[in-house]
Amino acid sequence: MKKLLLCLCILYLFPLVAWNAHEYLINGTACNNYLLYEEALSHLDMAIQLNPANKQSYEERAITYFELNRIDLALSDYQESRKTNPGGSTKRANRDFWDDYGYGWYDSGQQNFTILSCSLSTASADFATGLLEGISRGGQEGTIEFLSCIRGSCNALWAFACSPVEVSKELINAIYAMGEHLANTDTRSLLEEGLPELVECGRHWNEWSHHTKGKKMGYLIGKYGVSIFFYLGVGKGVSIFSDLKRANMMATLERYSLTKSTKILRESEKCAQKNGSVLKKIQNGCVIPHNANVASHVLQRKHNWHKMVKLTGDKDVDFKLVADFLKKESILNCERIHEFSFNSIRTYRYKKKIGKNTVVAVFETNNQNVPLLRNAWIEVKPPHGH
Amino acid sequence: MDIENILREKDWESLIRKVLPVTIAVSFSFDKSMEIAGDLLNDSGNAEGDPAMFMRDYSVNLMIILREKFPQQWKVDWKNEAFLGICCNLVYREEEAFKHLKNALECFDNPPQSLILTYIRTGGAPNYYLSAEEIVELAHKAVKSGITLEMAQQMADLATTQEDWNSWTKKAKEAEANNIHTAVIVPDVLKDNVRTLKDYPYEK
Repeated sequence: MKKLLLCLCILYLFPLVAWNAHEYLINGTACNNYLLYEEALSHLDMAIQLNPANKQSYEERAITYFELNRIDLALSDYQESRKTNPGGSTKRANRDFWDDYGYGWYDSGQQNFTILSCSLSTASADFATGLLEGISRGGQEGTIEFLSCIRGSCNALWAFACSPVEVSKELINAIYAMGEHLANTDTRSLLEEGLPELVECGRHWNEWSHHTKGKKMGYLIGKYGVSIFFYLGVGKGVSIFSDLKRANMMATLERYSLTKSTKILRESEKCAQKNGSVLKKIQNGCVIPHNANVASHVLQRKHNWHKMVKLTGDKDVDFKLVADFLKKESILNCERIHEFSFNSIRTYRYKKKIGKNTVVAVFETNNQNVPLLRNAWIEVKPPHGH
Repeated sequence: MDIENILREKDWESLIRKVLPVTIAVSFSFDKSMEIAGDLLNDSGNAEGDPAMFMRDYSVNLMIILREKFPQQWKVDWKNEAFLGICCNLVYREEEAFKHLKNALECFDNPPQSLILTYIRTGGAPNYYLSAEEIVELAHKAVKSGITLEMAQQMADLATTQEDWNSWTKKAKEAEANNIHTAVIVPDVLKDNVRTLKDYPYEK
């Protein structure tokens, strides 16, 4: 009788536990896709607690840790995902890891990339060759110290182009899918983002050879990082972006696990912490100054903030009041006028009429297309009133 | 200290800390020095916060020295003076910005639309250097060169009646749909190093 009860328990409870773990995994994955990393972490912790044998949960949590800038934990989960359940049901589990990869190298003397494709079709290999070339070029233009930055603007570079490279097939497919998405997206909405290279990709995608497609997409990723595509994340773009981000992170973590570049890791963490806190504030609608001079400049008497905000005389407090005012008025949702562009420097002017006065704010977008406040004032005379 | 090496590595921090702008101006040609100013400015777009401001300030100072040291080459292209004005604005040197843009404007009987619009924005921010009447007069002068997105937005901004505002807003939308933009001011000497927004022509 006891044995029967035990069997019944195993029969009925095991699938329940497995189902719950699976549900947590699904929730965690969804949270990851919508950038809710803290929530994703609690779901995935539960998924692993309930079913520690599922490789996919570790892989998913590695992504969460990566995004939360806990790189050591991300790496540990990634390595765990590779050794646990090697014959499991995830996409890659029943194949040899390296089957997913083509092998390639960069010849610095010849300035050439070569792909020795073991599992890629010719078209994919052409695309991948162009991709590597583009990432290197984009990376050189993108940041000054691009090799020390593996997350943020150049998170694809480390995985791809540092040394002999291993190109993830999943990543190549994800980037190709993003190119296809660009080609099917309204180019005006791309132009809105102020990124001419995106518009170019969207317009000419279908005319280009696979090599050129790879080169153009690589250039974008090398220069801006994969996060550039987040701004296109509407409709179908969400899942394509999510695939691309996921594949890129996996490629990056694979590179980490093959190297011991702790200095680069530390540099990356610092960079990511800074970018992360700015992005978080922007996501909450906060107005972030471009540099330390902004507050003093904005609060000049001639900028007339005393007409709209009760100023205290304390620079920091007053600037916060002005920033809160701009946030409350949703200035970044108003129509913008392109003011100046010089390569990656782009400034835009936003205006909003409030009563007889007009609020004017000038923002500069950084290399992740995040708007940072440069200047703001109140136009008090109404000759330009509508 | 090897300046060539610093420049090759684009080690801007060392350049700013160890090399005076005047040293660049006496060590290199006008074209090369302008290229350095352009590179600094360009890379400042990827360095946020104070480092970006140091790089831009250095770039502006270098251009001011080049303006004095190579007056002939400087005057060959009016866009040098206008671009210096725009860059001064980026580092909050508004009075200088206005002065240089005004100098550039005075080179013409009929100034190009791009220059007038830049001049209006600098002088009108925040309504300090130019009167409302001057701005309106200049804007009407500029609009004679054609209706672009930026021009129509400026006219809508100056509209005094709802009817005018509606009309200019409609024109702005049409120009946007047809990708008609006002030219971007970049000195000829920097043209090869610059990529600007697609559909935005360069000022000749």
